[in-house]
Amino acid sequence: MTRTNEMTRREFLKSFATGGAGFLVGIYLSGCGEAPTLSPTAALIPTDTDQPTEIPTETPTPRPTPNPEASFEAGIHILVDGTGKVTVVVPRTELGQGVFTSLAMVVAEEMDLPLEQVQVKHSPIDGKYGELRTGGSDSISSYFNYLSKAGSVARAMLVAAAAQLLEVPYESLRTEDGFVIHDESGEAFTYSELVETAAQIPISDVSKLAEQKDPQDYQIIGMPVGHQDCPEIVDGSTKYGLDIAVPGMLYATLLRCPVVRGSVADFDASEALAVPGVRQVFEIDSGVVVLADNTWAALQGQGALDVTWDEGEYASLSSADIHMDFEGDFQADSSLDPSRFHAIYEVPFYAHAPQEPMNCIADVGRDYCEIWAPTQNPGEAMSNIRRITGIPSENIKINIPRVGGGFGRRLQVDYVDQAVQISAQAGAPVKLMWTREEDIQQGFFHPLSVHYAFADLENLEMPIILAKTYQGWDELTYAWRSVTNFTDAFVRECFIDEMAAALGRDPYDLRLELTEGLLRQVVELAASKAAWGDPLPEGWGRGIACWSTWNVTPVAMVAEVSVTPEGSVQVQRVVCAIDCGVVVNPDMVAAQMEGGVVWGLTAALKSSIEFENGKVMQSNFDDYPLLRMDEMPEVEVYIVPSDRHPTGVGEMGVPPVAPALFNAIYNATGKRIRHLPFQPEDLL
Amino acid sequence: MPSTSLLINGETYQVDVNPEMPLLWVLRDTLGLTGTKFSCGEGLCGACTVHLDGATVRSCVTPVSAAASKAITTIEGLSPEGDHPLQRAWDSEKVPQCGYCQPGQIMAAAALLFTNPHPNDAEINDAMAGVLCRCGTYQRIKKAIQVAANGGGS
Repeated sequence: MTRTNEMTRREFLKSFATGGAGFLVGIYLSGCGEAPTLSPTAALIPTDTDQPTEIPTETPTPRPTPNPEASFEAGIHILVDGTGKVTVVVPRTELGQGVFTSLAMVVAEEMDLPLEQVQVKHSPIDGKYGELRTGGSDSISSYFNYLSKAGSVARAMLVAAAAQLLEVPYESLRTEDGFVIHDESGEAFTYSELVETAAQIPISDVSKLAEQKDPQDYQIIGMPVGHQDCPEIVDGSTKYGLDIAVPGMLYATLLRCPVVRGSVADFDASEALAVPGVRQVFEIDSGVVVLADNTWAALQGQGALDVTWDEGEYASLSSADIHMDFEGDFQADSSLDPSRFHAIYEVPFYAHAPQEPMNCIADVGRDYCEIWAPTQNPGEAMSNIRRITGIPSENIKINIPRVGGGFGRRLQVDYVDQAVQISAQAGAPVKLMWTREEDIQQGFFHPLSVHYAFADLENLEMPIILAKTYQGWDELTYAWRSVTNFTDAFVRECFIDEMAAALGRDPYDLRLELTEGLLRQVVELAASKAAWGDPLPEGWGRGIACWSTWNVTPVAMVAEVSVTPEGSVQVQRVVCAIDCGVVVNPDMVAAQMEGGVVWGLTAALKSSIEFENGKVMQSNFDDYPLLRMDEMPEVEVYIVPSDRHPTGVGEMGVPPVAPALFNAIYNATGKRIRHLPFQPEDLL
Repeated sequence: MPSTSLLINGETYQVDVNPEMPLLWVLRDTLGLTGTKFSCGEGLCGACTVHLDGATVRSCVTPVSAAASKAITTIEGLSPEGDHPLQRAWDSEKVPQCGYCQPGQIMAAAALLFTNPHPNDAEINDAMAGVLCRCGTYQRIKKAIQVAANGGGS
């Protein structure tokens, strides 16, 4: 969808006249009483009569001059400036999930503005704007109503300004595409012409007049729109955190103990300091810092460090041991009746691995601090900076650029804390960059877990699932796209498939019996779009799974796979059905579902984090591989039409993927896989 | 340090850097051309893809000395107005999510279309499988390449 924002007032009036041919004339001819007064501009509109339009002799309404300095606020989230452009601020970060574009659509819709006129930015770091945290897929659901209402108030203020200038009733005016129009007179103002007047009107005078649109009248909400800043992304001009530079900035690396959360016992900086370009080497609580004139020198200096580590409390951490212990606990649990239908499932640790590594620029002075941080959690960053530096909030400025992927990793602000500590100690602005190896080995992981699922096949209901999950939340583990939904969906949906097989039932059919309401509806939609039950080629299989993430967004998926006799799996197609309430931007919904499928397939087929003696065995994309283009299935997304309040979509595409896939592999091969990720030997 | 002469996007630059320094860091830190991204540092993900004499290289593992006698093209120089057919197709197909890998994706795709203006599906997979996208935009990337190859993208 492209809408021009270049349209001048006159062009608009022309198109207005053309669009409703003879509209002005119609009023003139059929109007009772006097002909409407035409403003000079309106008089230039060609009409479809042969009669030349009379140039009115009455004094025209004096036109306001746009004042670029003028502006008004409609609540704390919307600012309309003197050029008619609208800035919306929300305490949310754009990580690729599209919330800036989608929330701009909500405001543009209620204000009757071309979308290009509306831009969303991260709010100042102040709790008055709402929760300063981007997580839980809640940006649209949290701000839809609020911004709809604020947008309608902003529009009402502009209409009230026009009513005042024209001395006509508020109700006689309407808005379209950035204009307030008085049909009776043919008069129209651009929003920019009205801002100065609107700014004088108390918001309380108009807020009761403001009416939100009937969803039937939506013109922008519901359109498929890509990211507003796509042109800057594709020409390379977007500045991510890692792309920003500030004057006098030094480049920092931070070497940490290979055993997670270990600390420095001793270090020798002499060789690092001998690397050309290295300026300083020092210790902070989490490791050894090298500061240099450029990234390369800082990395070289890091490589030349000689550090003795104190391995700390995780020195014996081993994924295999935890798996064994958890499984042993279930086996030894005498309360679990082994004769009952049951199965044990295993989920490993995972890393987030967003494409933009962790980084932060910090400039800490005696009484001020400014940071540039790709973060999902500036509220926590702010309180940590206060604690670390003693600087009050009003002297701390947090800038949040567009972020190269978050997925929950950037809810932790460890890298912000580190950059602030480093800058404070160095007495200079610094840019801290983590390497990919550090990102994969030193982060906050999706926790390992083992699950015991059981069901009574005689009295069908949802299976009961017991979980043992590695403890260490907020210390070693943390939120990873869809969090527990990923794990719980994997276990429940694989086990329902096992129940179906044990009962000789069709897995789709069994799900229809076990689900209800909106979840059942998406199960039916996905199955129907995937032509469930139609024959597949030799060696192919089909699997289904469903889950309602955070109990708000039901999603069902049907996966089709082909498996070669050698056990090589290719996912051919994934059909998704989702009910996310009112759809603000169907393109972002589809994009998040596509991305969720890739995320889920990577976790199911490609990678996991394994600890041995407290060290992460993986280090980069060679041993923590991501799904690649040649492994990408065809993904189809179907959205259930709904008038429910919008829910969320960012995490919701992930949970059904792994079980749908494993169920499809079972369908193709008769082999059950009860652990993530898939191993080639599983099909031998 | 010896001065190295680099031809980047049609302009000549003199840089005084360690000849071992990867081209990526010269572009980003020395010259401020930050469209080329760092992600893995080992030539494993393709985010840092640039062209040397029209062919793709991973600039994170290419010493600047190896680029000295070549014409270097970065995302900033792919087209003067940012309207290369691939850039237009990326827009019309709404490819990016976080966008971080997309300059590398586009540079890889541009080199493909330069040598093979009408690649089939397998040829696209071959050329693009080395460029990772954590957001999962592969389906749209492939479509955008096909759109650009067929003269589309608005």
